[in-house]
Amino acid sequence: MLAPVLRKIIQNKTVMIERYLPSKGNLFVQKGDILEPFQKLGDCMHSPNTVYFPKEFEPVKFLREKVYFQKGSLIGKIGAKKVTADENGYMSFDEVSGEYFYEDMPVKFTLLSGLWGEVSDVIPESSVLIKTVVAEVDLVACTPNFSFGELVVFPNPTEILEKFYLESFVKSTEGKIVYVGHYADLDTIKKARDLKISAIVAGSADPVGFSFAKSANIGLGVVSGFGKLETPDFVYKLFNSVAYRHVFFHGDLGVLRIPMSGVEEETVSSKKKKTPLKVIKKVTKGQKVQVLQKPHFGKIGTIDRVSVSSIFVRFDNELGPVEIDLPNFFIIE
Amino acid sequence: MPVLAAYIGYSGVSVALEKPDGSFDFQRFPYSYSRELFSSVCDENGFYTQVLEGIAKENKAKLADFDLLMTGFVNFPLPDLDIKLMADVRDLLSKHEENFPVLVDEVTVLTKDVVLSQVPIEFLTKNEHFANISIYPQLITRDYNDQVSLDGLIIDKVKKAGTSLTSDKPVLFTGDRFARRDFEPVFKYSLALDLFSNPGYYYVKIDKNNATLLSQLIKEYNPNINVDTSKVIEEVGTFAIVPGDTEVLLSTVLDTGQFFDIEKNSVFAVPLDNSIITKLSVKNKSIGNLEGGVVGGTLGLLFDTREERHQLISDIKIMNAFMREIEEAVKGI
Repeated sequence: MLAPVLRKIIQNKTVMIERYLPSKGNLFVQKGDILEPFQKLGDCMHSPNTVYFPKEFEPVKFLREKVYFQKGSLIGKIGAKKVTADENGYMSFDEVSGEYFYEDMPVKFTLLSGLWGEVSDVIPESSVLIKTVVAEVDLVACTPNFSFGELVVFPNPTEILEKFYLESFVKSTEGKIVYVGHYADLDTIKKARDLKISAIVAGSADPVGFSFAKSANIGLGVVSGFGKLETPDFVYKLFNSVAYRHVFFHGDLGVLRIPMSGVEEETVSSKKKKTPLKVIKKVTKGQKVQVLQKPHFGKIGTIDRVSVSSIFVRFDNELGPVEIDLPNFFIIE
Repeated sequence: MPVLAAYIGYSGVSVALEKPDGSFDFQRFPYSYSRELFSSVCDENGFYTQVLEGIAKENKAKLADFDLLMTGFVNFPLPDLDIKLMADVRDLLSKHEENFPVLVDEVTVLTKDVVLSQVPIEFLTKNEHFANISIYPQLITRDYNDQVSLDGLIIDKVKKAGTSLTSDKPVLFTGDRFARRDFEPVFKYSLALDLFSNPGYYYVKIDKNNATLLSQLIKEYNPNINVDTSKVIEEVGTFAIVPGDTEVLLSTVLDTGQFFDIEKNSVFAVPLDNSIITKLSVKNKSIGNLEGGVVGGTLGLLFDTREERHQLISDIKIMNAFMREIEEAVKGI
């Protein structure tokens, strides 16, 4: 019997990651430089928020050039509704779109490397391409967003704790990538949107919540599938070991990339790295498998014996082995 | 050189391998490429190359020892495979003369005349099972309701398109829906029955190995190779779609015959061998009187007197009776 091999984590994958300034600015590195996560790559002046107003917006006075407004002052009207400045900033007119927009007062933005690696290329005043080594966590379902930020890891198991943690982290989760536990339901996803979390990672998600995340343009990636499924232990352990590290959520590729240091890279032999990964293997006793059959859907167990068209799998908390039909499982490595 | 013909389907790979004595062995690898699961490790080319190499190895041979022929639903090119002949699925179906083939899988219904695509499963995200199938296309469900919903999608599509399966030739159901192992074998028969909408008599075969496509592919490559599919294609029997109360007289040369009434809105199976032609006389309001010879098969002669053709497995009362009636017939299949 043959079955495909799933690799939830691909260690030591060499990738190119682009780090860029939100506006044109200064870059302090050059091709060939070796980087550490807290190394400064560059800086620029950048407005954290820019709001475009609809065509019916009427400014307090006719403007064609940048005009400064103080926080709380009246900047215009939309119909009968008065619009005031949320922060100190500038209002301008976009000649191309024919719309007024308001930019918060630019602040200094510092771009950190966020990873270990080597500068491969530099686009002056704009971005740096870095060759780096990552651990790649496979997300079986993802919204097609891209984001990066600090990884916040909530403990497994979830439910009550999940919401408590989300509330507790209200002030510090904005722009971060949060692992919310085994299961992300619709409420959690909505809460994450309200908290301006950059992306959520979970063991599984509610399909309705997933559709909501897609439509609301929220990053959401799941490790096991849909329904109330668990995150495999070894994936959770990895998340825990890299909590607060800067990570990259690639929804388009279906992966979460975790930068790894050179020290971690050396733990794998160079010979192993060059061998192409096998995706099909003979099913044998003792292999770890992910089961996709109710009531064990998503769980990881060990093959006890192999039959003609099924396997018998032992789970940690079960007394005896459970029969699982071919093809309702994958070998896990 | 011996031939290895492969059909890449929605949920698996079916192959016909030529053995040293010139006969063919039909095998199935019940997994297909899923971008969500494997894109970080390999593409379709890498996946199917490893699958076919693995199948050859399981048969104590090397892939290079075969002339490789391929058909199916796969993105080309597959540069790592030395394919001698690549053929379009629809071309192969239209060249098949012996039967009227109907290819059914989770996303397509294909005949010589019609191509129907279903709503892609990933868009039906309210259902957890559908959402998981979009990630794990090979899944077999043990949940009755999920099976009803899945087959319901296929039946709805055929009915909404106004497609009628009618042919003087035996109607042969093939494709990955029929190649999958259902936890209840009766589901395949009920699906086949529901795909007919017009009253009439149909001789039905089920090809669980995609042998029709594979043998046609081999014939295209070398018309001198004779592929015997008689042992792998199931002769199901005659389906009599006769809406309303029906009177039946069955007789063979060996007996005096039996007369019986079948009430409307039922499904009734008469065990009938396919080695003897049985004389059949039917009185039915919607199709009138009919006399002729029929042959049986696994299910024998199946009368369907439903006036409203809703999905059979969604009607628990009729389905229970149907399952009881054919339980003995399908035992051991």
